[in-house]
Formats: sequence, C-alpha cells, structure tokens
Amino acid sequence: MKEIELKGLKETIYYEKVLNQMPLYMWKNERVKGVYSALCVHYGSIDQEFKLNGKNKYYKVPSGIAHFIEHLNFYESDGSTATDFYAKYGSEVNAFTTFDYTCYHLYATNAIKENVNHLLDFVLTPNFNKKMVNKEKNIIIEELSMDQDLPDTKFFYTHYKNLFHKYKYSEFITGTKEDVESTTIEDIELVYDNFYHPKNMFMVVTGNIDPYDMAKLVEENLKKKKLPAYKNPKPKKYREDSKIVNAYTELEGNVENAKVKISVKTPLSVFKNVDEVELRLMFSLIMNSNFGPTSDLKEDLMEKGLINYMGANRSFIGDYLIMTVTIETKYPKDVIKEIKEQFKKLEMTEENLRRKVNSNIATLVLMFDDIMNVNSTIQDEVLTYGNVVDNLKEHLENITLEEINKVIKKVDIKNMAVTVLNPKKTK
Amino acid sequence: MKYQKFEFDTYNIYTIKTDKFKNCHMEITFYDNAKPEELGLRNFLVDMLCHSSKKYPKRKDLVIKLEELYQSYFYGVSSRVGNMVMNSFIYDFINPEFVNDPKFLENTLKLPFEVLENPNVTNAAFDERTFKIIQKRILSDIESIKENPTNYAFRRALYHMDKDSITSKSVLGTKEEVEAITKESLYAYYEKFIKKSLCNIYIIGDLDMEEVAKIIHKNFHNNCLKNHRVEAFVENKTRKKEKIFKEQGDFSQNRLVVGFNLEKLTKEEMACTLTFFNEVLCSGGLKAKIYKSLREDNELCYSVSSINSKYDHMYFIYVGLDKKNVPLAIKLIKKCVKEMAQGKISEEEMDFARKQLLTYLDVVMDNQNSLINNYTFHTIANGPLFDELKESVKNITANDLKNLGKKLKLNFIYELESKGEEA
Repeated sequence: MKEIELKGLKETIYYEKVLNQMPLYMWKNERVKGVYSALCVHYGSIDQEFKLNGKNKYYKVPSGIAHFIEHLNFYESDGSTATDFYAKYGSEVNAFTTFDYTCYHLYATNAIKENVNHLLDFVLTPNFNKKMVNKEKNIIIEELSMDQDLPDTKFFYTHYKNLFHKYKYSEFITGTKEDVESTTIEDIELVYDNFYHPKNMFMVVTGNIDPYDMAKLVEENLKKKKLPAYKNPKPKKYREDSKIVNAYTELEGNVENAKVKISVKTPLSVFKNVDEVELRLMFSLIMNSNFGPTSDLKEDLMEKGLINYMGANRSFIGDYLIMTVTIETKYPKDVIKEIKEQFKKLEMTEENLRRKVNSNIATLVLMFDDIMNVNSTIQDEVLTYGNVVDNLKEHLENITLEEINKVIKKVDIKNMAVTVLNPKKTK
Repeated sequence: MKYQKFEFDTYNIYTIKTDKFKNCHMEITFYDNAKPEELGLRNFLVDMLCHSSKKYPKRKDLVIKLEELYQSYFYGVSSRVGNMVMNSFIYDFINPEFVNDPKFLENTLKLPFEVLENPNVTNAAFDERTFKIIQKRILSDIESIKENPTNYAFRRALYHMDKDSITSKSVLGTKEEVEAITKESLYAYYEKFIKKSLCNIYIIGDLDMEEVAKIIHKNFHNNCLKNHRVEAFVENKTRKKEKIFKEQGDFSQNRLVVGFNLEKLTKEEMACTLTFFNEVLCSGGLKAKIYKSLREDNELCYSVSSINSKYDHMYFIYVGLDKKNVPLAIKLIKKCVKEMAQGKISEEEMDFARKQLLTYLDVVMDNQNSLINNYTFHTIANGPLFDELKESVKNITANDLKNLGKKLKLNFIYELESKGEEA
C-alpha cells in the first residue's frame, strides 16, 4: 500500500494496485458516516472501434453501446437486479457513462463489506440475454427522447460537430434511436468480454473506511473471480485534423433567447515543455480572468444589456485544448464580435493571478468536505494523468505571469468555431 | 453536533457547531406570509442585493472581494414553501483555522451585512445600471421556463389546478409584474422588506459560536420586529372529480403531471409518514411501486418523479413518456395509489423504504446545506430534526401508510402533449 501525501493540503490518498491488476485509490474521512465507492471501466461512448491482442483487425460496434451495457449490467443471474440487492441495505447504487469511461457508484452507510463486494460482483459478472436486451431498448429510447427534448443537448453536440472531424465526441453518448435498435447481444458481449476486466478498470473509495481493510476486501473479492485472459483492448485513436470543421453554424431550437458557443481549438503539440498539470491550471485561470465574473468584458456586456448569461471553460479533448465561451443573448452578432476581440487580447495581471491562485487553493482545501467531490476529483485525475496529483498546490503556486503570457501566445484564435442556437422563427 | 440559539430583539441566531466541515455556511433568512403580488419584488430585491452594493458598485468588485476572502461565496435564494416566502442570503467561507489572519473571522462575517445594509442607492432609488441588468436577467429566466419541458409542464399544471392559489405562483413573479417594477418602487420595497420580514440567521461550522454571535450582533442592525405569525400551510381546493387538462408543447416526448390533494394530515403524518409514503410509492427508485410498474414491468418510461409538497397539502407525480403510453401510465399510477390506500404494501416494500430513508438521513447529516435547511424548518415550521426523524422512521407501519393513502384525493391530470415534430 502506498500512502500519497497531498502536499500542503494535509490529506493522504491510499493507493494499491490490487493483484497487480486494478488500481484502487482511497481517502479516509472518519468525521462522516458514509462511504462512496466508484468502480470505473476505461470504456466510454467514443470507443466504437478497437483491436485486441495487438492484432491489426478492428472490431466495430454501434454508437451508444457503453451506455447500453451500463443499463444491462444491473440485471443479475437470478432475475433480480443490483438495485434489489442494495435496497436490502438502503444503499444507493447508480451508474453513468461519459465519452471516456463508465462508472458504477455506490453510497452506503452500513454493511460496507457486503455493499462493496457486491459492487465488484455485479459489475464483473456478465448476465446478458436477448430478452433483457430487447426490454432495455425501450427504456433507453425513452431516456434519449427525454435528453434530446432539451435544446441544450442538440446545441452541445452540434457545436462539437463543428469542432471535430473524426473524434466521436459529436455523437450522443446514448447513441441514436437507430443505434440502440440495431445493437445486438453479440455486440454487447464483444465489448463486455474485452473491456470489463480489472486490468482495464480502477476503483475509488472515499469516506469512513480503513484503507487497509478495504484493500484486503477488494483483493479477496478479485482473487475469487475466474477472470478471462486479458486481451489488451486498444480503442482506435483517430488522427484529428487541427483545423475546426465549420467556422459558423446556426440552428433553431425551442429557446426564447439565442445561445452561442464560441470555441478555439489548439493542438497540445504547440505547448512543448509545458508541464501538463500547470497547462490545465493556467488555462482555467486564463478563461476565468478574461471571461469570468471578475472580467471587464462580462461587466461591460451586462451593462450594455447584451447578455443574460456568460460562462467560460476550457477542456482538454484528445490532443486538443478547447477554450469555450457560452452566452445567452438577444444580440448574438454583437456579442460574438466582442468575444472574438477578447480572444485576440487574452491577458492576465499579476494581481489577478495571485488572487485567483489563492482562491483556487482555498477551493482545494474545501473540496475535502465532501466524499463524493473527492471521489470524482480522483476519478478525473486518474483519467487525465493516470494517477493522483500529489502537488496540485505547488503547481498552482509555481505558475508565473511570464509562463501564462507564453502559453497565451500559442493559442491560434483564428481556429475558432461559433455555433448559434436561435429561437424558432415560428415563435 | 451542538445546536444553540442566540436570541436578540429582532432576530435569532441558530448555530450548529461541528468539526465535520472545513467550510462554514451561513444563511440570513428573511421570511413572511407569501403575498402573490410581492413574490416577484422579493426575488428581484434578493438578486439586486447580492449583485453589488455601495462599496462594491459592480458585480466584479464584489467577486474580487470574495476571492480575496479565500473564495467565499455570497448569493441569494428565494423560495416559496407553502404559504411562506423565504429569501435567504447565503454566505460560504473557509474556516479561519486554515487562514493565517487573526482578524479573518470578523472581517469575513462583516461582509454580507455590510452589503445588505448598504445597497447602491441614490435619492431613494437603486442604481439604474444594476437594476437593468437584474431586470433583464429575471425576464430571461421567466421566458426560459418554456425551454425545459418538465418545469413548463409543472407550471402549466399548477396554473390549471387553481390559478389563484399561491401554490401556482412562481417565485420569479410574472413578466408583467417584473416589467412594472422600477428602481424607485424596488427601493421602497427594500425599506418594507427590511423592517417587516421576520429574520433568522443560521450558521454551521467549527467555530466559536459565542464569538460568532457577538460579531453578527455588532454588524447586523436589523429592525424587523417579531410582531406577527407566519402561517406555513396552504389549503388548496379539492374536487369531487379530477380535472383533466391537455395542452400541446413543442417537445418530442409527452409530459404527464398528476396532482393529489392531501386532506387533513395529522402532525405525525406531516412530519414523517408522508416522506415514508412517498418512498414506497414513487421516490424510492426502481423499487418504488410506480417506478416498478411503469418502468420495470411495462417499459413505459426512463424515470418517474414525485414531489411531496406537504406545506401546500399537495402531492405530485411526474413522468415523461411516449404519447401512445399515456393512457396506460395514468391507469397504472391510479392503481398504485389505490393499492397504498388499500394497504397492499408488502413487508419487503416497507423494509426497503425504511432502510433507504435511514441511509438518506445519514447522508444528509453529512451535508452542511441539508443540516441548515433542516434546522431552518425546525425553527420556523416546527419540523422534526433529522435525529427525531430517524426515530420516527423506525416506527412507521404499513397501516400508517394505508391511513395516509386514504387521504390522497386526485385533483388533476395534466398532459403536455407532443406536437409530433422534432423539438
């Protein structure tokens, strides 16, 4: 067991690679009663083509299959569901699928051993048949109808279509109705058998636990399982063109005011020799400082009555940095012009930087008030960096104005995609 | 956890001392009997006061100050609960133990009172610039309700149920009401709000609460007199036969809202039995009667929700589903509710619901906001504290649920029907 001290935060993350297969991360908080456990599979909605055992043949499956498996996995061999099991303890079990991974999570306050053991059991015990596949199709189609009724869903995916040529981020995580209908039990088994293996998974447990007991419990559980040989599945990596797809797109939806997304796409290859963690932190600070609530731009746009809402974020998708500003407005043309101008003159002052670094450090300290927050932050770090970052505070303190100005210069603001969701004309 | 009350002439401070959290959470809550014509004004005022002040005239000035105070947060929440309107100014700040500044507690606690008591006002009118920003934002919020089919269906269903009932009123006010507010009328209302609303302050954290009370008392110059009662409950009209409403919406999935009156509930039913009842009937996830019937047995939907609106004496069930499945869904919902009234509740259902509620109560007791919310309703509406609720949950019987089931009277069935085109 490795004890990872989070420098400057007085917190420790416990790490064990169980049976030398599955990474297990734990954080102990004896002040609370609950235990939050997440069992994660490195298989998400973008992984629609993959090869096995290093061979060249690619297997292709329908879009939405990661989410489909997430639904089916709750059925147990005796006709009951995992929910039935957890109801006996009053525990809450659920799951979600993202572009990049699938997560089964559990909140329990009693019988922790039984609860965690069953999480490993139901996720790692396949039990699929044609009847349940067909039954679940109807439920999933209702779920995707519900999601797709929200104008923001169509807006989000259309914007990603304007940004990415080959990346699968522009496809619904659930797949389309046609994808769901075309999914077969063979597709499901192909994915499950190859990706649902401890070597392709990780687990995060936070809350009132003894990490040593927890690691033993997980190890004993996995020891009992007859796991198939690991075929080392490798999802296809798409070579994504560095240019955006469409610079400007309009669509209509059931909205009262126009919504606008403006994104700049920058290949990570331009940030050579920049620490990966600091790069991510720096662009959070840059977006917040230029488009957030302390920016002159936001204040100015509000004063002119041009925006009802403005938010900014940065994401790292595949080999690209995506800086996005989202606005709600009645005057999209005027606002787009102003945002573009701000992108041209991205800036940061020393005073702003120090204040925002200090406030970010306070946020880091406060994160440890919530076992779910800590759990999901560990998940994010494992997915992003392959491990937890033990010196986040140091990284924040290391950031200098000079470095920030250097990375700002690397952003090609001409590589910008704008998507406008207009109210329907018939309104 | 140590609960304490500090009583002053015009307000009380309620504290929870606990070392569970590094964050400290404070709510300055003004509450009163809800008047339909004042809901929009109160909400406008809360947004206005949280946006800026005399000392921090722009939003960015206030946010910079909050960042300087180690990422404190200051925001307002307006809500209507039954016949009460509650306007809370919420302030989150880091425990002074993590800050190398002996004056931090005093300096940080001063801020919300300084902002509330010194709004950006000139000649008995709020600053026009901020006024326009807030007015525009609220009007946009009112308009955008149509974008979310769930919220829109609920709003329309309540309007049809009884457009004159306070239950059907939005805390945002109507478009016309918000447009009619001026910077002068809003300031006049501020004077009234500060003087007439009842006020309590709630704070949770690992703090010296005697010291906290002293600092607050020094900085909060509140004049509102504890001179009237607040009636929490609304008596909504019942119907001999349910009303059925149908409207069309620009969505691809139909939305169904079913509303029930809750008639003459006892104190114990209000305090705990109704929560247990809701768990068995609908909110207990896949094991709940309606959920199981609609989703697991008949594949009609992805999820079903319910709202236990006990201060309105109402109970609502909501589901999104395909048009062709609506008649069957209505039939099944009625059947499940009838089963509750007939006492057709298995031991397994009781056991699952009880355990789920006990876990839920453990979870919320690890959450600052939930603890403060619970304490608020304990002090204002005599609701049970979580510990008391836990004890009650252990003793509820199927017969208790059966008796409560008989008190549910179907009021309306509202359907927001898809126009059949892609939204």
